[in-house]
Amino acid sequence: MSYTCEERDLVVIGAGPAGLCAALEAVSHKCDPLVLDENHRGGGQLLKQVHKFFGSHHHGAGKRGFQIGEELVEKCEEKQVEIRLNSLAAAFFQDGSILVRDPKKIYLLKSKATIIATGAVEKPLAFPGWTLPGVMGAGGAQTLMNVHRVLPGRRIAMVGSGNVGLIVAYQLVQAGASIACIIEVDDKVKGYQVHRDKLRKLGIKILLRHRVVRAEGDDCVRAVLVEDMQTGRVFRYKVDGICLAVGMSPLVELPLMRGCELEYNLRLGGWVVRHDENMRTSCPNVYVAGDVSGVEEASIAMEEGRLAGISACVDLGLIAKGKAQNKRKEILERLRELRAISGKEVGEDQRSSEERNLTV
Amino acid sequence: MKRKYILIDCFQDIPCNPCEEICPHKAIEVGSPITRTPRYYEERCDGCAKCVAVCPGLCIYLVEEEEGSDKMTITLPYEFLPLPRKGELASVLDYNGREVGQGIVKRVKNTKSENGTALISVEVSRAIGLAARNILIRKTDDSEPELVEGERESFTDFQICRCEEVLLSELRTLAKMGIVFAPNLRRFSRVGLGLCQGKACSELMFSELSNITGMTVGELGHPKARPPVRPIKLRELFG
Ligand SMILES: Cc1cc2nc3c(=O)[nH]c(=O)nc-3n(C[C@H](O)[C@H](O)[C@H](O)COP(=O)(O)OP(=O)(O)OC[C@H]3O[C@@H](n4cnc5c(N)ncnc54)[C@H](O)[C@@H]3O)c2cc1C
Ligand code: SF4
Ligand code: SF4
Repeated sequence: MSYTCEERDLVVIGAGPAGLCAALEAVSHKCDPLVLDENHRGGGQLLKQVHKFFGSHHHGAGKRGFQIGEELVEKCEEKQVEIRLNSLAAAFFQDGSILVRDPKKIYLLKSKATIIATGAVEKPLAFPGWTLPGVMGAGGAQTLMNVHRVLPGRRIAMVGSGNVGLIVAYQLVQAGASIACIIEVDDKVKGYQVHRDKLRKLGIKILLRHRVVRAEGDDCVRAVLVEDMQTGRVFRYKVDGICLAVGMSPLVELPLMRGCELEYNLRLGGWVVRHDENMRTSCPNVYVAGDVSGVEEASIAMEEGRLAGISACVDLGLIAKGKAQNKRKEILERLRELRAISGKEVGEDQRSSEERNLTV
Repeated sequence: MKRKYILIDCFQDIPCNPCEEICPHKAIEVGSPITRTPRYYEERCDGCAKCVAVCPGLCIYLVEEEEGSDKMTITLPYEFLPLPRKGELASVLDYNGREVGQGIVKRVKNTKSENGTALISVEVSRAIGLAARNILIRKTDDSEPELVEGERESFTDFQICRCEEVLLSELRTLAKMGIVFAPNLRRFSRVGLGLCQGKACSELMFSELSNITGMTVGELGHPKARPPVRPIKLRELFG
């Protein structure tokens, strides 16, 4: 069996904020990147973020996440970046070729440089009843309501008080559901104070030092049993949905197949692709950007995308090293500012999710 | 004398500064680094409420008060539908979401420049004015949880890998037999070899192994990945 093989200078896998910014950076250096995404729309996670973002104006703060995503896609269209949607990068072989599947065909891509920006996947939390319909990732619930306009439940328990848990809980209320409780094992709320306060000002409680004992139900979730870890008392909350917001893990399969080294970093979501400051991996001409290189934020993903784009163009001989160095310095400076605080927040989020895993 | 000023409930160092950016009179300052909390200079503020609408934390409020009046008006950011109507009576909630009284909706502003965050101005009595942080969106089901006795001790088995329907107890039995090397455990139990290719269960298997062996997840080594990353039909592959 042989497949058609197309040759490109630069392939970017993933059209989230990281991938799109990498592509935009590359076109600005006269490179002609090809972006692949398995989704039917570009924008990645941003598509379902209906809340206004933090950050500085440089990262679109004050705009809603999906608007930032749409703007990035528009910019790519303006610059005539080729984005192939519904195109899954199914494999990334050691010889550097990428197997792509779209609805019509399967083909191979051979690229001189590849930027992997595939994002992250939600971490699971297992407890008796976690396989019942109605138990889902908070991100999944967000996709259901904000992209597909389906309410995931009427009365929901949220597990995890990191920013994702808080934001999705608030959006569930906006969509018409009610929040029975937010469950947090730690003794403090993990997400930002202002996100917490949005819920607090609605009278929604966050149960600190609490854990899920099990979910009850026959054909779907009917209730969740929650233990107060200080008193050992267990309470039953009647719910028809349980959302899990206990962290994300980078989607490292493609770099792993290609042979990139990983490194374990709990703060960044577990196994992440090892990379240098300029987003180069251990494999020549393979770069990572965004959540796949460590779960952080969209603003950070965008900057990392730019860095990866610059590195790829340097290695392709499209930019002079000196010019690249100046651009990089600016970006690294912005990244340092962004990480001054958010790194800490994400880290706490992740650690508690690990503690929670499976200690039944 | 009329006085207009804002209240800012933003107390944590977070990387955010749209309030500073949007203010036409430099009445809010975040400065550098961007994680500093905003400082407010009332003497420069003209009460335009632009910051109230832009703040992603929905934590800025505009207060309008007049000397001698026992009423004040609070303008709050609001992101729920349906929007309240002008003249409507609204239940006013405080910082903890508790009802503190009633107010009359005086203005509802929801134009393009607010970008989806409506500005609701509510007239309230001076007594509760500065405590007002929200208006009741709808009656919610706040039925109390019930206490459950004798729940803690019992172990209930459950599936750890749903694609291959592997129970936690099965995994533990294998591990007790000495199969604690992840690739072997995977072969024997089939955890992670199903349709999702381990996206959910792999992490669970590793954390369980970590509990059993006392090694950290990092020390146990990472999972392998084989193509394809999502299931592909053989028919598609071989046409
Ligand atoms: C609820 C929630 C709220 C958030 N709020 C904020 C916030 O307020 N501010 C902030 O800065 N960040 C926020 N984030 C984080 C932010 O969304 C992510 O950090 C950011 O989207 C990561 O960008 P990315 O490009 O790395 O990955 P993603 O946005 O996940 O994009 C990855 C893309 O790759 C595609 N892909 C994956 N695998 C393949 C493959 N094999 N083949 C082809 N395509 C593939 C996917 O379809 C996807 O489009 C939030 C996240 C969540 C879940
Ligand atoms: S109300 Fe207007 S002038 Fe006053 S601080 Fe806010 S944006 Fe600035
Ligand atoms: S915009 Fe709101 S959340 Fe951001 S710094 Fe200003 S007050 Fe705080």
